[in-house]
Amino acid sequence: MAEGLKPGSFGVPDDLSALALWCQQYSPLTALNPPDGVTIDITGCAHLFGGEAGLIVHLLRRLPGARLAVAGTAAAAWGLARYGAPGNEDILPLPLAALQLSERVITRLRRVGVRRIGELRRLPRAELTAGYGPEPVLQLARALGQAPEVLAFVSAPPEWREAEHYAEPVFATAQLQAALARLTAKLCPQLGDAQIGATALAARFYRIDGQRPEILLGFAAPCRDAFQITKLLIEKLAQIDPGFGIEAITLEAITTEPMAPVQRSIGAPAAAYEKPINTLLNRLGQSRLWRVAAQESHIPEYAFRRMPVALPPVPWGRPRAPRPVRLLPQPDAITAIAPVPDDPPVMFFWHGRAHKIIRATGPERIAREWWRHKQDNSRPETEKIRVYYAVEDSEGARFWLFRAGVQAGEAPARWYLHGFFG
Amino acid sequence: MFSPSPLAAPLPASAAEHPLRQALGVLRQALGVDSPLRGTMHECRAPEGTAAHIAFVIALLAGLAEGIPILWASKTASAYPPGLAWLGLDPGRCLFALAADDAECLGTLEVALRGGMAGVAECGALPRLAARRLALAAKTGGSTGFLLRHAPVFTALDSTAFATRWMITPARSPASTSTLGAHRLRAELLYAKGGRTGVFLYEMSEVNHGTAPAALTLVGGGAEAGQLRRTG
Repeated sequence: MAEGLKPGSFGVPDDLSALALWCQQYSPLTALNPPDGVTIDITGCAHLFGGEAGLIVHLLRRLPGARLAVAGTAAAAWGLARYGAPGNEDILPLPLAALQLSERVITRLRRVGVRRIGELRRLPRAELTAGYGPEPVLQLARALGQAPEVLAFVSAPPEWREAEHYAEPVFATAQLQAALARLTAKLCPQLGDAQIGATALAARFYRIDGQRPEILLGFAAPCRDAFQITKLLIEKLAQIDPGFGIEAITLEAITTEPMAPVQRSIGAPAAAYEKPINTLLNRLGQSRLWRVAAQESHIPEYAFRRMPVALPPVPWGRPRAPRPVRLLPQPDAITAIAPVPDDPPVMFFWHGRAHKIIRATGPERIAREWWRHKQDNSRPETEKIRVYYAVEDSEGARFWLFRAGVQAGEAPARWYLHGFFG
Repeated sequence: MFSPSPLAAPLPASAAEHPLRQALGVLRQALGVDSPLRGTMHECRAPEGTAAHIAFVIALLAGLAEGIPILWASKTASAYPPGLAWLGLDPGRCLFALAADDAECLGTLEVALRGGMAGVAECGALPRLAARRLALAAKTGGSTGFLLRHAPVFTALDSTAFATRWMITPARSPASTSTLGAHRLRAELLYAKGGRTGVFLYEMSEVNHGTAPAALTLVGGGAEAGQLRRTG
């Protein structure tokens, strides 16, 4: 057994259970010793690292500052790692605390002059049990390998991975498509048995020249529908260049989420929209499919923000003032004729056409968010206000116009078209 | 029960044989007035430089049953979410997709319709094959789709695959004041599968001070259809 105390080093998982999993590179059997230790059963594994000494060196190089000890039993290793000198495998000179005895028993034994494990070992066992309970004898027997120890070894989380290897490299698209269909058909029932669904999938193609192109799928909602996954994988297969041939293909669910089993109903199936959303997400990608959430800002461009499709929708309230159904990505400069400084224009020209304005509602003044900008003293802050008007032209078309600046300001007022109401 | 549909608004008294009933029979069914969603596709056109068709479609979609997600696919991100909210369509229900070209835009809409979502796509050209595919997808998925285009009344590639085809143009509001009155839209039904064409004048009116979706109320058409009818 090897026992290690939790190190504070970087590059190594900090969480104890993650550390125990990390230690599985030395042996498949590792156990947690909360709060700060990990036990590794190195039986039959040490020679892979050049014996016990080599293994200690290997571990110390990766976990600088960790306290390590190797012993025949887990209990002895526990004590040696905490109380022993490095390289020492004899537990007899260690203090009683190295046996994981309770504080009360240690105090009482110390009162009769028993301070070390060696001294405890010389005492007759029957009397020791009668006087101090079963604990000291049992712990001593465990440390000496005379009583069985129970260790709760951690098991690694299962890997949702399926692989196919080929004796002869494959090139043909049809072969690759069939392989992806087979892998998906193997993986999806496993996910179903575990009641989980994949939210990210990777299909990796191991080429004989060492290259490893891959197809990544992402899902907005967990998915284990073999048909849909196969279809999406085959759609993206065109990106994969088989080169001189592919000798292995793996399909792995990288991230998974719980997904309850679905009861097949006899009647009309309940509406489920994950399927089209997942398909679109993989066709267009995260950046080209989004939901929107309202954002607290008076600036029309910042009144909403995009959010990933996987997040649940956020309900909206009604805006405080009318908002157009279409907003131009950039306000379009127009020439407008406005009679009085603060009146809506009577006419404007856009794209070479004159629009005579019959009716208008406004003004709605929107000041810029000065706290977001660098200080700029070229113009007073009062000139950095947009004055919006909703106007209707002689044909009934409704526009959203704004004037930037004031009529008699340092910079002349400019008019822009920003949106359409209809 | 069903949420109030914009087209469930009361018609004029002499409406027993009102052309709207005939012409919009398909659309009324599609929008779930007395039946659940039926799979139909509709095309709405508008002249260049207006967005009347977007406002029209938002008012129709706002009456759709709750809970059905709506996909907006376009080549530029153009539908303005606060504008949807102003007309009573919750933007939280909407998914927005940015397509690289017309083909991808139509393909995106097709996937959504086939999966049962409602969908709106803005595109330039609409080939006949694409129109057939979209109509079939809407039928398969039992969903409602709208296609928005800036196009003239007649094009060389007009298809009869969709349930209805509209030309939506802005109309002057009736207000005599200098401020904006009720928002009016002139909707010319260019084609309706199994229905008569006609010209209708709708008014978008606020319901319950804006707490309910904007209602499309019919204020003209039928008898006036002859006068309103586009000539040439």
